[in-house]
Amino acid sequence: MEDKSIYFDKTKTKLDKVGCGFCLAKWTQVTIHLGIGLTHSCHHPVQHKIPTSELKRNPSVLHNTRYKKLQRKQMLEGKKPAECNYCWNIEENSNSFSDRVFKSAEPWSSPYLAKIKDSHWREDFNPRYVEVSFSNTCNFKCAYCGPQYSSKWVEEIEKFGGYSTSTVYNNIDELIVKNQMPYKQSDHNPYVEAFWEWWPDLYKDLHTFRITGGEPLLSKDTFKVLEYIQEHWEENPNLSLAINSNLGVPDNLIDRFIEIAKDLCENNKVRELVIFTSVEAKGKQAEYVRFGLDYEKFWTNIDKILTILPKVTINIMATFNALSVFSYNDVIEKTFEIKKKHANDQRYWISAVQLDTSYLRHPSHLSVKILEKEHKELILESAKKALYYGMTEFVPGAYGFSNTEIQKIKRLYDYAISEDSFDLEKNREDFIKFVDEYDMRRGTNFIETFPELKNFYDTHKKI
Amino acid sequence: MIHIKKYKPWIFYPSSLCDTFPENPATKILSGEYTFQIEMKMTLLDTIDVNGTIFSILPNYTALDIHKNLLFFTIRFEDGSSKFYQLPFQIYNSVEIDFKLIHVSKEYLKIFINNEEQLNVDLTEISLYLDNSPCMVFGANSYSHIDENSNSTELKLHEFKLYEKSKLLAHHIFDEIIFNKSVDKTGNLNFIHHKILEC
Repeated sequence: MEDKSIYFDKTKTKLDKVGCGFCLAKWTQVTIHLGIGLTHSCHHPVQHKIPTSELKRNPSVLHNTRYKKLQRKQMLEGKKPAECNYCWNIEENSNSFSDRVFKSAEPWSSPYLAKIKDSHWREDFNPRYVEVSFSNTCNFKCAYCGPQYSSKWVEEIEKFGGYSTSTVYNNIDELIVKNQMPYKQSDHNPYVEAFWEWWPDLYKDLHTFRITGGEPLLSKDTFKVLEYIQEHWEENPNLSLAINSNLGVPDNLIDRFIEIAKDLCENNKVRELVIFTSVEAKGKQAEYVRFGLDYEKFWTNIDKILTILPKVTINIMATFNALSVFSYNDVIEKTFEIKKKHANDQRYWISAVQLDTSYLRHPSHLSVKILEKEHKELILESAKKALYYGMTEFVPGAYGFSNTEIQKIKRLYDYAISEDSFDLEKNREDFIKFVDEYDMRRGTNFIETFPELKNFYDTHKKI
Repeated sequence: MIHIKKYKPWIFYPSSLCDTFPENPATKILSGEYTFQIEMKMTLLDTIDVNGTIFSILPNYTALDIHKNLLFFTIRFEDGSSKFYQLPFQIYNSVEIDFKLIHVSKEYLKIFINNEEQLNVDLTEISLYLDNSPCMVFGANSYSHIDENSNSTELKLHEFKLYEKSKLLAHHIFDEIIFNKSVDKTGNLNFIHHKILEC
């Protein structure tokens, strides 16, 4: 622990020598939403639009926009860009290291410090950690998702409009005004076109490449990337590859993906391959929230992938919300069962499957904070279960929940009971309006699916 | 009851899995500044012509040991020195015994077996060791390296209780084991776990 702290301290000193606002992530990391034409380096600053006019002469503008270069200029001149306020707040109000330090200390950042500090702010830089979403095409419309990330959501909102909550949830008028409506997969998309022009040059420099969505396995560009890596892996055999999937696509797509992944893993064409997916409840409750999900099929696909791909790890990103509390214990049980069944000493990461639990903040009407105290106590029971399923030895082949997995579930409980400015009444009212309308639009039945919340529903419906 | 076999110790170290949960691991009180009481019901199974550690509190070695068919208690003091005390109780294989250790901070440490006093150490001049994160091992003198030097021994542990003053912090009767962890009956999550992956 102390060693890491010293390392971060040294990194901060090196960064501060260049400028108090200097952060390598502005050069080395990027998330690009090609379906909308948005980019940002580091997830804290708000995404900004990629100008198509700049793209025509230089496809790396997907990352190296003029706007971003002006932020880099400020950093090289000892200034603190306003869009990075998240870190400035931490640095000014605590003794903790900010993400500026953590991200600059990453292996995909720190080796490039000298090169970047001596560069001119106008220079293009190929990022090392790249997250790309090719489109919003998705066969799911999860309750907490929205039109930017799901074409199914676009269809629903175009038909019915935004939800009649106080926030007019998932209304697309603002997206239209801001020119942020996603391209349809069938449309010509200049951002995707630019990506493919840039890709051969970008690929050689990549440390980590992660494909997000929409649902990546429904995108032909995902398979084009994977096939490119199969053919050109010698140009970058150390790539860390990650792919998101809802694991609810037709079997032929899952099988096609597994076949390519098998080649990449068995022939060491990548340094590692990790799959990210999501679930945060059991059975019908999970299918209600992650609309489009076939719960049994989801676990069958996980089992299939881990059986055929003995080196791969699957990370379940659970977005824990108000509808997760009654069956999260079952998710923990099932995850443990899979951990045990697929434990081996070949995995890229220690566990075959990881449960990465985060609490949902937006939309706030689905937050666990809307629930009663007795419901929140169930979260603590889940954390206890995870603790008893804890891994006693962190060595290859070991299984069980890790320190981090347990802590994240416990943190949920702390969040659920914490007191802050959360507007309980408004959010409960919005919750009732939301589930009523959700049932009407989708033919679901909230009370039948969540009998544990019948009293809660009845009480707040009357109000 | 758990049957602790040779080279397969069990460990009372509830903070070893997760940094923040349980929030107040009971083992932290096994230190000189706290008043605590340990109660154990156990049956020794390996007492003849062996060196065996029935339990050890680590890293500052305070332990109940078997040596040449006799019972010894080792105390580590706050200045780092240690003392070995032979207990008068005669041990035999396969006989259940009630063990009780009472530590009153900076006053005394007493040991009772089957309600008879075996040891009374004055701690007014020099107290028991101080430690931020102690743990307790059953059936060995270490949990990280288990080999022929670990004084491994065999015993059955029927019940374990740990009190801080009169407050019960951990209680095990070993009737419920989840993934090598004995469930703490108090609900305080102060589990006792097995070193190996699967029971």
